[in-house]
Amino acid sequence: MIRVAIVEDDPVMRDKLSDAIAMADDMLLCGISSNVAEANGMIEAGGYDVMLCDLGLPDGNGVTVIRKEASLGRDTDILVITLFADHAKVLEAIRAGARGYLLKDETIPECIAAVREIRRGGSPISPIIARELLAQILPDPERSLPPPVSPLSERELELLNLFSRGFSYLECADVLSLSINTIGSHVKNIYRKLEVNSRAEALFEATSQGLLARH
Amino acid sequence: MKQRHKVCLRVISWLYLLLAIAASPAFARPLNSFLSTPSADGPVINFTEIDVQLADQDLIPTSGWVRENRNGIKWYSDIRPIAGKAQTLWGRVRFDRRALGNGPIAIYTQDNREQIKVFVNSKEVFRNFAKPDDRVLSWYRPYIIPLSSDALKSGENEIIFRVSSTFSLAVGRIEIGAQPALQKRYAVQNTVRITGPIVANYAMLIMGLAALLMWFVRRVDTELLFFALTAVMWMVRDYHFFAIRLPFDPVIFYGLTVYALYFAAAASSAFCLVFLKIPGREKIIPVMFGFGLFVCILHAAFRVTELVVYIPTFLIAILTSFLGFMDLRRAKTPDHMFLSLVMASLTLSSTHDFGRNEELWHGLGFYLQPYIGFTFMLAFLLSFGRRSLAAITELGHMNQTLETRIAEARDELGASEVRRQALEVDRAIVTERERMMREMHDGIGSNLVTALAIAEKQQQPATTIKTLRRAVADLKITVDSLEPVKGDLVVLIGNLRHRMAQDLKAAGLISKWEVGHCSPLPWIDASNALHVLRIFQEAISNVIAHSGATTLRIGCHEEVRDGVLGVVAFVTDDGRSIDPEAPSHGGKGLSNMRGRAESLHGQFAIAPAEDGGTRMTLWLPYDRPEQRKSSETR
Repeated sequence: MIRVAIVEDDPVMRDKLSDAIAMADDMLLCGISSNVAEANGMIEAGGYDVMLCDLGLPDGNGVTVIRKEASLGRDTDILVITLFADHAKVLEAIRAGARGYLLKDETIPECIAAVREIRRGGSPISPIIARELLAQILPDPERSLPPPVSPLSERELELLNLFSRGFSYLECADVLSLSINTIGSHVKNIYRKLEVNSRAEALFEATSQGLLARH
Repeated sequence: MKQRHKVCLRVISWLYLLLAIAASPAFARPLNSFLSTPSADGPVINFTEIDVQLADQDLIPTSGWVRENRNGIKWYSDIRPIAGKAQTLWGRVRFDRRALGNGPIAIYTQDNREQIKVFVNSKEVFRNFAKPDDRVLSWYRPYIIPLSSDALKSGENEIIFRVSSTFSLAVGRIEIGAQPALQKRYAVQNTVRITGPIVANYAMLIMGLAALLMWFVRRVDTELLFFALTAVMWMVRDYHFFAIRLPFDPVIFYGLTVYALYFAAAASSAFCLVFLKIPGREKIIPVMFGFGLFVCILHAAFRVTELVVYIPTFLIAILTSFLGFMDLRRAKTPDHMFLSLVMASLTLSSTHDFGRNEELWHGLGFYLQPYIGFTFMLAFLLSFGRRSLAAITELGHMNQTLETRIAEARDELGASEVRRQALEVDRAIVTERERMMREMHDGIGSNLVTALAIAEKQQQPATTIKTLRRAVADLKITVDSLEPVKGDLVVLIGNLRHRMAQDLKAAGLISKWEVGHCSPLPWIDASNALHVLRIFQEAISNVIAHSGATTLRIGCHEEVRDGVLGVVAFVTDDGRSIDPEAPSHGGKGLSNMRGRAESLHGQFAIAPAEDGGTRMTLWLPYDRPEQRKSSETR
């Protein structure tokens, strides 16, 4: 049974998602929040496997909710609810701790499939996001940032290259002679590394700003 | 009475004449012997015997002549007169007119000291002074005295030299003969003895003064000071070689001339030691100058021989050239070689001049010493010129390097300005994109999605839901066109396929991704990206809607068209072949696609595929025509 929690302020979307979960035999809706405050309480209570979280909440950014959940280190999969899955929003959420995204216009079966998929170990990735990831996670000689604390493995790099060149999950599995599940766990790993790196970067930024402030 | 008186007078005069003739030593002795040198212009005779006597009188002495045979280097009676008191030395030669040719005759003489008066057959033909107290210097100077045709008589002739000096007294070399031959000898001797030293010494002095000025500017370069000192000391030393008159008191002048030689050598040595940076120079130089002062005082106070000055001078030259040559092992520079050679030549020329002075040998016929300072100047010029040239060359290199660096910095600056502008444009685009995204998120996007959700919930007609879905899909594509893909066509089309994966799956279509090597198309901005996406969205939608295909191939690869490299992107299905002529298939969608392709300056085609189905292609160049044109004119 997959226990699902929803953080969404739009009632229509909230209803759609709850309907979807209600329809699935293997899912249980165990929490709904419509703002950051409610979500905080829900996180403290815990007791869910998947959190679906919108970003534009009335009392704050959903990113803080995602970060809070992620920081607890529980075995929770976080899916960000997004309108377009544009790279800016998706990567922001992934850096905070999300492992996938759910499009708002997806049909109910698609929503259910997405929740099951993330639980099975797969994370969605689009060519544009793969391309952005490549640009962001690789060490950039022109930036003053330290090298990534979690550099990509050769296989992950290979995979990211394939995704950025438009290949689908299935095609990547074919090309690399890997199972779809392995591909999924690689993607999840890549997302995790982005999160770790973003935390290190934030720390670095804070430190260097602190140093600057002291002088 | 008168007649007797006349006879008496005649007898007395004859007797007197006989007595005079009998008393005359000339009559007692034969003519002076000489060497005769033949030449094309006639013979020249060079006396090997001379009759001399000291007689402080103005009239030619009639008796008291002493015959001297000097075997010919210099006709020279080396009598040191008492300083300050003028003494007179007489010299006489007699010869037969037949020993000379018939052309014009001249007398050549050199090395007389100092005032000269020359008589031919008792008649004065030359003097080198205007007033009795003229302090002329003639000890080294050659003279030519052309004789008038009637100056000589047939048979025996007599030449008398009267030399007078307050310091040093000598009758020099006397030659008589064909004027053109002697004129040539005079020209050569005057050049090597007088003109040459004047030119050499004044050139050296000017250089020395220039070096002194340079030293005032650069005090650290002590070699400049020592070079100036070298030049001045050699000038002081050499002045007596070519001066016409004594500038002041002869005793002081000769003293200075003698002592200057030591200091000229010492200054030359110091210059060499400093210029070559010989180790130990800081000790050697003061010792050298100190010793010189000691020797000069010794000489002046006790009137000892001048050798006490000349011998240390000689030793300094030997020592310096020795140190220079020894140091060659440490530093093999042309400066070392040249200066050591000059110092060595100083010892050689000193030896030559010493031998000449002591009449040990005739040598080159003139002294080399007046040229020594000049050779130092040459060495200095060569070394200094070499160093200056090296410095100028270095400066040139530095300038070149500097210019290169400036050019690099300028290019860098230009490039960074271009980057800055590009960054500004990028930032503006990002800002605009964010604004549009926000609009689409918060406004139309949210509303559409909400409408879709409601429509689905309320189970509105399929066409309503389909239209709403289509609107949301269109919006997504617009958003994708705004993503910063930097002209990467592969990502753009790949992302579209990713977007449409659910639709393709729902239609039961298998999509195959056939991507070859493609570089980004730099000119694809958001609006061009939207054109591309719309063309492919339309094409894929057409396949889904009309073709009845089972497989869809999407991809892109490089392709050259009309000699222009570009990328061709395609959608091929295995469904019904399109009939391009059929107007029904044309429709609005197709003309929209064509229009967009035109905006892109691309080539659009839709045609039956080779193995059935339809193939849509869009070819886009890497460089657009206007870019190509501007890059050609640039």
